[in-house]
Amino acid sequence: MVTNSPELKELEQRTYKATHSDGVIDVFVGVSMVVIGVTWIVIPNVLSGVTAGVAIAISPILAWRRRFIEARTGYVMFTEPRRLWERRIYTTAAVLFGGFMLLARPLGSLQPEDIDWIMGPDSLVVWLVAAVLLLLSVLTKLTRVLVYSLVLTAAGAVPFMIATEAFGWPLLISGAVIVAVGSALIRRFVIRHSQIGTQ
Amino acid sequence: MATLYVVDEADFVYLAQQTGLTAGNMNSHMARLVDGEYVAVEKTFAANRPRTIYRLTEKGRTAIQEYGQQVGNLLAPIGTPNPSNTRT
Repeated sequence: MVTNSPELKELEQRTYKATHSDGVIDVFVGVSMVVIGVTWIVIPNVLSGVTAGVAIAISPILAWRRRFIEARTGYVMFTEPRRLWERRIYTTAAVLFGGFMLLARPLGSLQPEDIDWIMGPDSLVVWLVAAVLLLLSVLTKLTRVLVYSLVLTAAGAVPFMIATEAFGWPLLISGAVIVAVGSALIRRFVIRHSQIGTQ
Repeated sequence: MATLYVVDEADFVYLAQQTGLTAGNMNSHMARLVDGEYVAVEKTFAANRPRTIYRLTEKGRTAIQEYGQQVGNLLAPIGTPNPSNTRT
């Protein structure tokens, strides 16, 4: 990704991680999950439109986040390999997330009727997303992404625990947790960088 | 300079936050690095606010690499620390 010595590689990794500890994307992903979860609970058959809406909304969010960050921490441009890596991560995660949403209902309808609801569409989607987050946590070395993966895994069992046939509870619960963590990160970030940078 | 080595470019505010230096100290250090041609500077505007961007030059990259090698050579005879000799 960068340079030739382990110390400089570690410095680059730390520098990169520090610029992604603001919590904005966490809140965006968490809110998206809450919205999709609530939609599934209220209107179980409305899926594609919500997913598309989320996918469309992400670009202005990333642009706004950049301005929000730079106003407080200053401007930095990472090396081309790092930027390319980041684009691939975001694109792959978005495609997988959207794909899982679209495949949830068809995959859920394939399960035999005598299997418990624990493998319903919403549990399946949540566990697939959890697997993606686990992979992301390894690639990005962001500990909180691993925590999100564990939260999603646990939330996937909720429909079985509360014996409900309403879709959306795992996403709703997971999303709420991620929003809470992201909000705390944003608060910490704003406090830490309370004076907008000047030069 | 190490921070500039691991990124393509960064502005004054970012470097000051990364290093913890005051604005005056940053100005002084960066001026010397620019004079020595280790760092290139570009003054521009972003959202109607002045922005000073720094990039490491090839001379600066070479200097960092040579410095790293010299430090490595200096510490090599010491080797890794023996845990039994380490104070807690």
